[in-house]
This record gives sequence, structure tokens and C-alpha cells, in this order.
Amino acid sequence: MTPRTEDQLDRRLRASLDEATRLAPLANPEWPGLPLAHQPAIRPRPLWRLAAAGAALVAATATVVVVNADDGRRVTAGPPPATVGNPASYRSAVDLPAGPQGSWAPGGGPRTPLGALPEVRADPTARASLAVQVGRGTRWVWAVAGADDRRVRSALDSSVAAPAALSADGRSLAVAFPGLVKVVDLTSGEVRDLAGPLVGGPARSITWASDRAAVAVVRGADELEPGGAIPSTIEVVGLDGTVRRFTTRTRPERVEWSPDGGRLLTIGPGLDGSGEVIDLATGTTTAIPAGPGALVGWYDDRTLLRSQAGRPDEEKGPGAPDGSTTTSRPEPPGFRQGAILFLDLKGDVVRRLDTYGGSLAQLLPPLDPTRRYGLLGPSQGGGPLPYATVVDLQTGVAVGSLTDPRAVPYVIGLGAGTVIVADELPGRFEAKAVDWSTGRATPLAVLAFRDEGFSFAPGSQAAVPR
Amino acid sequence: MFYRGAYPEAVRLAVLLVGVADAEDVVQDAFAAVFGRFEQLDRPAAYLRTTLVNGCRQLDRSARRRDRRHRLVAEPERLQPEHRELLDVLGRLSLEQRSVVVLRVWAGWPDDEIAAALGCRPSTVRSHAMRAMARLRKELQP
Repeated sequence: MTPRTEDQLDRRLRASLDEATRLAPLANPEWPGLPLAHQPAIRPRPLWRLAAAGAALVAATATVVVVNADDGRRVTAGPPPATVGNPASYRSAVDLPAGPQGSWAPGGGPRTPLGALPEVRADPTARASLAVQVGRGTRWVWAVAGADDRRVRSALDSSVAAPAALSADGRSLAVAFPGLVKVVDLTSGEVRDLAGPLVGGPARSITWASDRAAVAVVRGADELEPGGAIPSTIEVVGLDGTVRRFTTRTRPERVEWSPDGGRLLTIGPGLDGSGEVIDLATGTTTAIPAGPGALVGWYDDRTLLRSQAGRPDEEKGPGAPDGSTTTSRPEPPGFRQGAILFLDLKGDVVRRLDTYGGSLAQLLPPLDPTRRYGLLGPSQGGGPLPYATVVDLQTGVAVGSLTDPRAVPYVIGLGAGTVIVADELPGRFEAKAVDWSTGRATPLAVLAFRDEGFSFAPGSQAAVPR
Repeated sequence: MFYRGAYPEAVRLAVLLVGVADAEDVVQDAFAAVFGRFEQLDRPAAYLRTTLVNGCRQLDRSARRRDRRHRLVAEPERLQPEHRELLDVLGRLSLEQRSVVVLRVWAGWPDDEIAAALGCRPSTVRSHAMRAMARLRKELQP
């Protein structure tokens, strides 16, 4: 076809150029020299190119630019010196403790194929616990695969679905029923009514404090009050049975505990990035104003994290930290940039980490008290990501990347040289450790369910029928 | 992170400017230049693109000295005839004209940014574009 108009020619050009790039034998888009999972090999290059690429690797990982929001001064966070020039020492410099650790609570509505809400915890000794809520007719069953005895425990059985959470050590399951919180000790099988009766309607989420001494439950009616507000109640229920109750009108979906357990950050439901910080000691609530991205959680006891998607220069506008408005500039497709904003407890930006390769999708469990790790990806929330990079939030140094969504549908934690992922497959859930270097996956736990019951296989052991 | 995010698109752009044989080498060189001064850059992505286009121009000059033509695709026989025809014409344009067409139509850059990358004035970009489109239209006549 001969193009008659400018538009026709443009369209034909675009189609042909797209076709040309589609046929281009694109080699490994990863950092040269860093062996990553599921990537084709980089083709050999002359030595001087390898040297340049090595320098690029060091620079790429070593020079994340941080802009101080107060005075706009640019400072640079560098990695430990051990990384310089030696990609082999790059991972070890991150200094992860031995053994995997992770958690996974994707939330959301009923999932296919059996309406399960899976929860996964893998503890530092490489044992995993999985909890799955499965609808069976008019009953809901929480099947828990405890790592200790390799037996499936049908922990709870109820006529209603309710949010549940495994504790960080994978040994307790808390379920927030309407008006009641039950905790199952997965070691002894003991079920306790933690507190009740409680008020406030059906629960939307339940979250364990990091010290496992309490849970926070978000409850709220789905009906509007006169005036349009939807009041929600946040219950902080201690394992000792104490209950503290806070009311909020922001209708949060969930809360995040500060690392010391002294404050709660409410998150959601809107996408405007607003929230509240509740001081549990004083009961005071501080509103975090809307901003250019969703609140994600806590960096430390005094600092919150906001994930800014898109390009930093495009995101400026109403609500941006500096309040400025700039014209967006089109970037070629594929340049995914973002920023991680560190906020004080009033919501003011105190530090900024510009990111390339996506925005902060989720936080990963702290492996030691001095470090925080985040998962960068193209979208937020617990879900399969087409690519993901784990980054040390203090230094901005990337720990590693994964790009195969079939192999890593959900990233839940980190281990020494491994990333812990959870897989949701037809009829079963798996938690496994994937080696950064080789891409080899080691199963930690498998929870399979069939019509007649569940089976659980820790590690590579065969499934044990119930 | 920057490398990872920017690499695939940089290679695609380089493929369209200098062809598959040289694209990755030019991109590697551009990244090496960017990371040498990453801390000083306000907009590393923009700097990368300018460096990349500059690298393509240098390569093009040396290729022309050796009377070498750029093959935009490695296996043209895998293309549909109409794509093959268009890419063949595009490959015969001067690098400046091809760059303007690719950056304008495919990458969606504004003229002033193309001008900055090519080291010329925006009005020159427009005249490159006019000539390139006129030639494409003429050569694509049945």
C-alpha cells in the first residue's frame, strides 16, 4: 500500500520500525557480569568492552543519586567498598544472614481455583508455613501446612470467610472473624479466642506486630454515615487479651506496624496516597496528606515510605513534594523510572531515592535490624511481576533482579544468595528459594489440595496425604 | 537499576539508527559514558539518549568511510514485503534524516530534544524530516 497522507506514512513507519525492533536479537538486558536467573547468556565481548561494562555495573549499583528534599542538595549513597570492581563480592557485601525468611499476604478477594487466600511464612531455618483459606460448599477451611511436623492441620472451620495472617515465625495463625479474633498455635494445635465480642462489623484485614505480641484488625461497615463518611475501627488486640480501639474516617484497607510496634500507619483505600499515623502510646492521630504515590510502609520507627511511580519529572504537579508543575516529556517506551520518597511522621519528604526499573512495589521482611529491603517492580501490590529488583533502601544498592514471571510470581523474602518466592499453581501452593546466581529453585513447602483433603510436602519430600 | 530499565529500549533505538550488527556495541559505549558521570547528571536518561545518538553518528561516519551500509534487520527475509521495502529505503537515508524519522515517529521525541541530540537547530530537524518523508513517499510509490 502506498501511503497517501502524512498520517498513513507515519503509521506505516511505526509499524515497520516496530517490526524491525521486534526481530532484533536483543541480548541480556541485565548488568553485564552479574549472573541472574533465567537470563540468556551475554554474548562474548572484547576485553576492553567487558572492562567498560564492569565499570558500568559498579556505577549502576554504586551511584544511586539521592536528593535532599529540604535544600535540593544532591548527595550520593554508595555501596560498601567491597563491591568496587568485583561483581563476585557484590552479593556477599549485602551481608544477609543465613537461611531464607519471608512473608506473603497478597490479600484481595477470592482467588481461583478454590477461593483461597494464601499466606506464606518461611522462617530463618528454611522451614515454611503456608495457610490457605479454601471455600468448600458453605464452609471455609483454613488449611495450614506447619513446617515442624510435616502434617497438614485443618486449623479452623467456619461458615464465613475472614482475613487471616500467619505470624512472622510461621507458628501462629490469627483469624479476624466478625466480632472475634481467634489465634491458632500451630505447634500445639491449641485454638484461643483472643478477644471478643468485638464490635465494628466484618474485618478487612489483620496484621501481626513484628514482636508477635498483638494483632491490628481493621473493621468497618460498608455503609455510609449521614454526611458520606465511612467510619472504620482499628482494634489492637494483644495476646494477653487487651483491646484498644481507634476510630478513623479514612476507611483504610490495612495497617502497617512500625518496627518498634509503637505506631500504626493506615493505608488505603484510595490511590491518592493519603493515610494516618496512629501513636499507640498517646492515641493521637496524624494525617499524612495525599502525595504523588501510594504509601507502602515503614522504613524505620520515624520514617515512612511512599512509592512514586512514573518519571520523576513527569510526576511533579499538584501534591508533589516541591509543589511545582512541569510539562511532561515523552520518554521512549521502556524507560521505567520512579522514586522512593522517605517521609517524616508529618508526611514531609526527608529523602528521595530515584529509581530506574520500576517503583517500590512492596517491602520485604527485615533480615537484620539495620537494613530494609524493598522490591522494585512495574506495579504495586502483591502480585506476579514481569520483572522485579530487590534493593537495599539505605544505600540504594540493588541486591539482584528476577525477570521471569513464570518462575517468580510473588516475591516474599530474602535469604543468603536466594530470593524466596511463592507460586500459586492449579491445585497447590508452593514456597521456594530461588538462587540469584543459578536460578535454581529449591522447594520449601508445597500445600496441595484435592477434593478429599490437603497434602503438604516440606522441602523436596513427597506429599503426605492427610 | 538504570541499566536494567534503559538497556532494552536503548538497543532498539540503536538498531533503528545503525542496524543490528553494531547496536549493542554502541549502547554499551553509551552506558559506559553515562556511568562515568552518573552523579553529576540531572537527567541520566536524556544524557544516555544524546550519547547514544552521538555514538551512532560517529559509527556512521566511520562506516561511510568504509562504504558500509547499515542493515536494520538481521534477517530481512522474515519481514513482510511492505516492512522490508520501507526499512530498505530507511536504511539508505542519511543518518541525520533516519535519526529524525526514528526519533520523531517511533520514539516520539519533541523537535528540540532531537535537535539537542543531533547538535543542530530545531529548524534543521524539520527540514531533515521534510526531506526524509518526501523521499520515503517517493520511493514507496508503486
